[in-house]
Amino acid sequence: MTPHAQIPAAFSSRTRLFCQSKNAPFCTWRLIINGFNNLRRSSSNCYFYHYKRRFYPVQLKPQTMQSALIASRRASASLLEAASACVSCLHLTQTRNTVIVERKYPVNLHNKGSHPRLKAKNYIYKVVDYKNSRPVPNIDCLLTDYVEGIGVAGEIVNVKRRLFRNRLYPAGLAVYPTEEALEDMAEIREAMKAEDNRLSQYAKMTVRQLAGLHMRIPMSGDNLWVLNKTHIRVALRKMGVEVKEDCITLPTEPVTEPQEVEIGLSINNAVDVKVRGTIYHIFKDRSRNVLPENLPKVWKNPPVDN
Amino acid sequence: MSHLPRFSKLKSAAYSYVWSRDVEHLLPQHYKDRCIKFMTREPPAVHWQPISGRWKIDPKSGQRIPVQNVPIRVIYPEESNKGLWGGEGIIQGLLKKKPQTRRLPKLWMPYLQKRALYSEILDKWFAITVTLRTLDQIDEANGFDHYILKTDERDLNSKLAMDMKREMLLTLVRGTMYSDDTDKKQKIHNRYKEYMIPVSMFR
Repeated sequence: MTPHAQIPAAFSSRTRLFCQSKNAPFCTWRLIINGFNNLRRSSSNCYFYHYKRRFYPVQLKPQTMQSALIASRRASASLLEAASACVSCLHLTQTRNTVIVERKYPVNLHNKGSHPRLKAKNYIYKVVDYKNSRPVPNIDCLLTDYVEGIGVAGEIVNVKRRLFRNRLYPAGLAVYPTEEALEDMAEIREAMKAEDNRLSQYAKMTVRQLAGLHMRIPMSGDNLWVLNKTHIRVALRKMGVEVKEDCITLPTEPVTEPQEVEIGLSINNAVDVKVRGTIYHIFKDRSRNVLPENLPKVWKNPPVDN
Repeated sequence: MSHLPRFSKLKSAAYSYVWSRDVEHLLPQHYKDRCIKFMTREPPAVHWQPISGRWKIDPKSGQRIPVQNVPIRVIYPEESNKGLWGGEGIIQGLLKKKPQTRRLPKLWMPYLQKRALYSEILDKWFAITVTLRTLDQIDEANGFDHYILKTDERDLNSKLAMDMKREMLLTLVRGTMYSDDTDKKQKIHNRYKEYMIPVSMFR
């Protein structure tokens, strides 16, 4: 069965197509051109057909290909024109919004108790406001658990409404701050007030960040030394962390050589964080300075197991 | 023949109550009262802004003219009964950009989203088509259950909402929620007991 046999009679008589094998290209849609000679005069003789329904994809000769391309361009241009014209006249672009409209021509006054008499022009509206395009105010919510970057349990926080709706409320991390909910959380809220050194959301974030730090501690290679708190403070300051020396806890055994160390930092006198570091030598003669190999990255390492 | 006030086309709702004179004596009085209240209540002005006051000054002539607020006609398709549109609907109107141009038909559609909403009384999650106005109202009412139980039927304007209201009230009255957890059950009972109505009202 030749592919020509599948072409409807109306098209086949005047269609010059060059049909190929069944295992034809991957295009599923293609153009059938009815009468190439007429192409220059009108572009309306182009038809799109699905290959499964009618026949197999075809390849055109180079000359005919060119004219077919021109025809297809014309056809698509005319289609686009028609489509754009339709859209503009029918207003198919709908606004999905809480729209507030107003009558362009107000309704005539009517007697009390009777219905207003509306004319066609009373249905001409103009848009006063799109409510959804206005920014939504934030919402106050009561946190039931610690949420990083937002707050701790028992705190009333003012957050974006979409955050509350999409993340916090469905997960049960926050509730509406009703009187009942506040009564339920009263114990935690009172404890929060009483405790001076409680961990705020930022303190908790700092703890997490410090747990992933790997310090670089450069020490003198020319002189003898014993590691003390000032060395650690300076090394931390070089990493961008400012701490007081009271917060630092050194290893129990005195350190005098380059090695891996674990140092304790107390945050708000409430939580101890273990921070790792590598001690290495630096010399007065800079050409002798060698950084230890295979150093872990500075930040975002997996935290130390306490 | 209907024995109820009918909606005018400017004050339509998603559904209406109609019954004939033959069956009227079969219906309980509280049901009829509720239906008449629903049919006669003023709908909320969602898509238009009513002018307050009895009089206003005409800007052209400077004369005092009475204010007669005529609502915008809103269409509630059958789909609005399957979601919670919060009083929003489709506005079918005309648009005339310039005096010289023709007036052209225009539809304004509500912005609908499918959202997961949790009911505490039923202890279930529901995927419901809502508008942003509904979500705002839920926030205002401090929760989905409060919104459904507190809001007037005319403002809910959805069969789905009334079905849920019925389910919630029945669960509250029968006390079938949280059968395992007595503390939670008591808590939920105390939270929503103000909305409870006697069981005889359901028949």
